[in-house]
Amino acid sequence: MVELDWNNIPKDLCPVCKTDKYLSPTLQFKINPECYHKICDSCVDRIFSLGPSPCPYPNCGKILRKNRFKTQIFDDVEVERECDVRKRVVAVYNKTQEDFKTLDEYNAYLEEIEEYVYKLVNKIDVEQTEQKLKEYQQAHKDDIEMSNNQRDQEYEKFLKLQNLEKRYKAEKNKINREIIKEEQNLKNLGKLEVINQLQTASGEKDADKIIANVRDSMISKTSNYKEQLEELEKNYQEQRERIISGLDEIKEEEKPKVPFTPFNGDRVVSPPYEYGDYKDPFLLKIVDDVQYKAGGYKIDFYFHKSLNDAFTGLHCIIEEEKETVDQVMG
Amino acid sequence: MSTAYTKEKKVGEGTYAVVYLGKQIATGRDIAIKEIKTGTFKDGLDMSAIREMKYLQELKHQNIIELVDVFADKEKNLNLILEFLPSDLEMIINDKKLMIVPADIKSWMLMTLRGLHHCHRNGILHRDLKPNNLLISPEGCVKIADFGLARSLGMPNEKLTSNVVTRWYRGPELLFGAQHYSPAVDIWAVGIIFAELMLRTPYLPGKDDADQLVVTFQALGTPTEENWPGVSHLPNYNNLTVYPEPSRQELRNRFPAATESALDLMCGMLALNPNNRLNTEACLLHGYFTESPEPTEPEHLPKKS
Repeated sequence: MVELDWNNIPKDLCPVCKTDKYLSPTLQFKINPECYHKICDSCVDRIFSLGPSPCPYPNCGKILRKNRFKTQIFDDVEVERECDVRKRVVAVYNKTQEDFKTLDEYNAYLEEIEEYVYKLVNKIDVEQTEQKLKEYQQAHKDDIEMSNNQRDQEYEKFLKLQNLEKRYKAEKNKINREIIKEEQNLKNLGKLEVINQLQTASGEKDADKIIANVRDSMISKTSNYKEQLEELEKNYQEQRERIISGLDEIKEEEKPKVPFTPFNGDRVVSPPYEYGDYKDPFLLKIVDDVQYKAGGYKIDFYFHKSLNDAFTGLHCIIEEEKETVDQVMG
Repeated sequence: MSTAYTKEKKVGEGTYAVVYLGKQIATGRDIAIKEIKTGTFKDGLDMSAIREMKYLQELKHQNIIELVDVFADKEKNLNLILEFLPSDLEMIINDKKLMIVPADIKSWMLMTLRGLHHCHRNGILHRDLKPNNLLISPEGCVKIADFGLARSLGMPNEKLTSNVVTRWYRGPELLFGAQHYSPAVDIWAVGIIFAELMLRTPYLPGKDDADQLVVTFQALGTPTEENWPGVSHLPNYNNLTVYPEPSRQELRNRFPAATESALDLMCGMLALNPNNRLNTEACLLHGYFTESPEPTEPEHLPKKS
């Protein structure tokens, strides 16, 4: 058997198990962004199922994990690698042009990104660059997150607009189809109508008039649809405006929220009476019994209730209350 | 007066009343008409009807059922016009299709305690709290209903009957036959309801009164003179099997979804000794209600479809 040349692996061959795409067309290659060495799917399963293992390529030695393997998108490994690096850098350097005052500043920012990508791809000062990247991420943590959120929101908006447009178009097509159908119907019907009316009409003078009548009614019916179409168009524009300006979301949140309080604002902290250390020897004697104590009876509760009963009525004016009740009852 | 309401259909019948669904003509809102049967009792009206009227007329609160009107019709039947509430908490607990999240439980507990707080601060004990009596309005609000067993605390020398509250929700002092108890009996019932909401099955389902004692103490430990002074002098206290108090870990295992403060609140409401049980105020001020998640808005609570 010919020894495999590891530096020049054929395109459709898995160098680990030597399976060829020609013989097994279902063969799928996976790569790991640690070293970008291609390995076929079943080999990945076989080798890395039990946890991290070193790359099977000779002189590689990188420890690879199964969950990091992915399908290769570009044929050229170098392109694949650059894409990955770029993705990583841009996830940290995620500002947009609107974040800069001048175009020059923005260009400088883009230049910086390019420099990092170039260095990382071509393995120049990798450690130093990684360090810089990390430092930047630490320093701009909040900004990065905000930018990310913004982008998510933009994307959401975009989806909403897309949805709206889809609905609008479907609706429009429906109405247009209706119009065409109706026109066709009316044409046929109009002909019949004219013939009918002409047959029953007495004088020949009426003929022109009758035809005009039928035409008028036809036009009014189609214009009805046209109005609907205009209405739809107007609605669509309004909703579009609202989504673009972000108003639709504010509308949902606008509902005033009452801050939470356990008693819902209904707690009598200071009762209308003062209850010092009132002592009623008669009652206290009754209550001083094991049956009361063990049952949980509290004489305070009774005192409070009695005082409450006596005092809470003081500010109630029954006549006034009655009036409102009468109003409610009609 | 009876012309102000329409009677549409019969929805239920109890021992002392028939309930109809109707409408208030002036406002068009749905109402329930509770027609009290007269004549079947030789001493006049049934006690619970009087209790219901007496206390509901006093209590107006957004978490207590509203008594709209009371009148006697031509046949001298007494009619209570109540707010119409289509569902209750029991239906929701039993509807296995509904998903209940902790924030929902918090919301229901909050509304129940607010309503109960209003009863207690007016000196009224409900004495029959259970999921079946916590009705739910179409907007999702909990309303305490059925004041047929309610009473206000009278003079201390009056004896109260210990034969109140549906068995599964009956506090230990009632099980021991105490005749001088306090609003703490309602708190116990709410604590059991809390547990039932988390478990979605009755927490302490005793088969009979004796079994209820066993079940209760198996779950929460047997009270002793140490943690409940005087308990052995209560009428029905005798020959108890002593069960140890459950450890915190055992409670955690029983209520896997409960947070620490939810367990704290539940234990506070289910203190065996009524003197140590939290009152409504302490319950409402408990950290459970202010910690995350926020209680669900009533209109977003799961509803019976």
